[in-house]
Amino acid sequence: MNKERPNLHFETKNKYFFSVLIALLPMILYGFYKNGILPYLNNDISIITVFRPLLFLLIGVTIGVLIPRLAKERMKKENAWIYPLYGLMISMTLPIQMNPILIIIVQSIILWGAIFFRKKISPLFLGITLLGAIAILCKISYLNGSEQSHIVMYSILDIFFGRNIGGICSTSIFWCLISYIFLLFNPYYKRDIPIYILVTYIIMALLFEMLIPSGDLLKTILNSTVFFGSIFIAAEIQFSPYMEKGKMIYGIMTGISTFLLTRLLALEIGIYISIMINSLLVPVFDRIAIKIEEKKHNFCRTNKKRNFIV
Amino acid sequence: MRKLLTLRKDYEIKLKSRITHYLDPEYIFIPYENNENIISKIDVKKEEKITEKIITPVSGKITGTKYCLTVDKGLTKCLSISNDYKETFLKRNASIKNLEKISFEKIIIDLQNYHYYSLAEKLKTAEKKSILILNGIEDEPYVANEIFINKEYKSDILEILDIIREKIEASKTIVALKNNDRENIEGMEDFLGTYPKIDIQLVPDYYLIGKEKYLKEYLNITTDCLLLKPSEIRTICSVIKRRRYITEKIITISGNAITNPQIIETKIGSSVKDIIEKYIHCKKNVKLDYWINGIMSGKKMDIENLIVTEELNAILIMIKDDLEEKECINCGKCVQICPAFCNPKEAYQKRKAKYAKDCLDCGLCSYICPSFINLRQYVKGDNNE
Repeated sequence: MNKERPNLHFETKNKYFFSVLIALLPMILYGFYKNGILPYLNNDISIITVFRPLLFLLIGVTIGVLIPRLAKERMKKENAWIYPLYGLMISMTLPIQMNPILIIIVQSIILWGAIFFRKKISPLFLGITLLGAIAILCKISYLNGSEQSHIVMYSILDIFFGRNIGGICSTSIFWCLISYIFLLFNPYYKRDIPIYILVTYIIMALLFEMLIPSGDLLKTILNSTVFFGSIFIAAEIQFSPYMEKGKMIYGIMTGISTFLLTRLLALEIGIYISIMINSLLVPVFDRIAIKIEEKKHNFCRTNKKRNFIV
Repeated sequence: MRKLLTLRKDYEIKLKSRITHYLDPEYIFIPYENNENIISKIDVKKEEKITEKIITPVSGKITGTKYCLTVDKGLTKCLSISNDYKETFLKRNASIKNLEKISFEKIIIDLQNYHYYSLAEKLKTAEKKSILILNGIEDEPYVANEIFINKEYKSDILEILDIIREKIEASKTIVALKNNDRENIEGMEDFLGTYPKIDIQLVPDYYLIGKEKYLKEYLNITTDCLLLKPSEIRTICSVIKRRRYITEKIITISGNAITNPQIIETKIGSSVKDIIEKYIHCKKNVKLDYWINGIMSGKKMDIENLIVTEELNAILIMIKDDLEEKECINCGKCVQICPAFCNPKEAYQKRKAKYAKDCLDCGLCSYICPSFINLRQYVKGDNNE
C-alpha cells in the first residue's frame, strides 16, 4: 500500500518560469530600444553597438544554461530551469558600458558557486550586488551613448516611462507595473512582497520629505531600480519567505533598508544590497511567522473556532 | 481563513449512465479474526450470521480460508465461500410498509441489531429541532458513488429522509447537491413535490465542500445539524423497511487508463480482479496504477488479491504518472492551501509529523506542489525518519 502523490496536478513550475520570462519581455524590448535603437537613430552609436544590450542578455542566459549542464551530476533533482532566469535578470540590471568579459567571468563564478552553496545565498542577489558594486567601484557608467553625448532634462513622465539612468533593462517603471499585473495571474508569484516593499519605501520617502523637505519627493519615489528590484528580484521564488507574515516582515525590512541605502547613502544599487542582506534573514522571518501562526491556530483549536471562506 | 478551490481535472471521464450489476461472483471472501469461532458447517444461507461479525452475502459452501487484501487492514485471513447462485435466505423478514409508526429509538436499535453501530451512534447524537442535511456531494474527482445512489434510490432516500425529519422535528431539511449534478437536481425537483418540507441547496464544485464543517459554513449553518449521505440513508432503508443487511456494495471504477468507466454494484467479498477482468477494458500498451478510494485522498494498491469490503468505494485505474519529484522551490503554496492550517513544507523539511492529528488527508498539498513532492505522506508521518 502506497500513499503516493495524487495523479492530478495544479500546475508545473515550468509555467512559473515561462510567465516570469514573458513578464520580463517588455522590459527587455524597452531596454533594447532605449540603449540600442534610440542612440543609433540619434547617430550616437554604431550599428554594432545597437546590439550590445542583447549581447549582455545573451551572455546571462547562455551562462545560465551552460553551468547546470556542466554540473549535471549535482543537478539531478535541482531546479536547473531557474539558472537561465537568474543569468537574464542579472544582465538586465548591469550598466551598458560594462565590459562583457567581466560579466562572463563574474556570472560564471557566481552561478557555478551557487550549485555548491545553493541553499546559503541566492546567486541572483549576489550576482546583481557584486556586479553593481564592481560598476560603482570601477566607475563604470550607466549612461548609454546618447546620454553621454547630450544633456537632457527629463520630465517626471519621461522618468516614469523609462527615460532614466539605470541598468540596461530596468529603467521603465511603466513596464515594470505592466509586468507586475501580468505576474498577478501566476499563482506561484509572491505578489505581496513588492507591495510591502514599495509601500514602505513610499511611506519612508513621505516621512523624510515631511521632516527634511527637498522638493524631490516624486523623483525619490519614481526610482526605477527600486521598482524593478521589488517586483522581479525581491519576489524571487526560492530565496524569499514562504509564510504570509514572513513576507510582510521581509517586505517592510527591505523597504526601510532600501530607503536608507538609496536616499541617505545615495547608493544606486541600494535595493539590491538591501534584498541580499534581508534574504539572509529569511529563515528567521519564516520562523517568526510560523510561531505566530501556531499560536493563533492553537488558540482557535482550543476555542473550537475556525473560519473558512468558501 | 482558507478559500476552497475547484480541482483542475486534466480530462473529463464520463461514467456510464446506468449501474452495472455483478451479483454472481464465483467466490466470496469475508475477513475474519482468528479468535472468532466459526460455526462448523459447510452449507451457508444468504444473510446467515456465521459469527458475530460475519454475515454471508450469498448462499453456498464454505470452502476454506485464503489471505486477501482489504483496504483498511491489508492482508487478512478470509473465509472463502463458493456461490451456489440460489440466493437462498436463512430467514426472510417481511418488509414494513407503514414506516411512520416506527419511533426514532427503534430505528437506532434496529441499526445496532444489524451491526451498523457507527450509523446508530450518528443518529443517537442528533438533537431535536436540528437541521437535517442529505449530503449528496462526492468530493473525490472521478468518483460518483453517492451521486449514483442518490439517482437510483431517490424515492427510498427521500421517504426515509422525510421520516427522520418528522422524528427529530427538524427545523429545516436540505438536500445539498453540486451545481453541476444536473441529473440529480432535475430528478430531485420532480420528487420534491411530494415532500414540501425538503429543499434543495446547490453548492459550487469545490473540493472538500462535502466535508461537514465546510458544507455547514457554506450553507451558513451555525446550529446543530445531522448530516447523512445517500449511502447511509440507503442502509437505514434496508434495515428498517426491508429488514435486510446490505450485502451489496456500489463502487466506482474509472480512470484515464480505461475506455468504459462505470459504477458497479457487487457483492461484498467479491474479488476486484474478477470484476475488472469481466467488465473493464483497459487501454493497451500503457502502464497502470490502481488508486483505491480516489486519487486525492486514496492510496495506490495492487489489486491482485483485493476484495470488496465496506471501506472500498472506488478504484481508479490511471496511466502511470512518470513525473519525477524535484526539489522544493519554496513557493509556500502548500501552506497557503492547507485547509487544516498545517505546514506541509516544515513537515517535509524537518521530517516531523507535527500536524498529523490535524491533517485531513485531503491531498491538496501534494496536488498544488509544482515540484511534484508527495507532501501528504510527510504531514501524516508515513515517510518520516
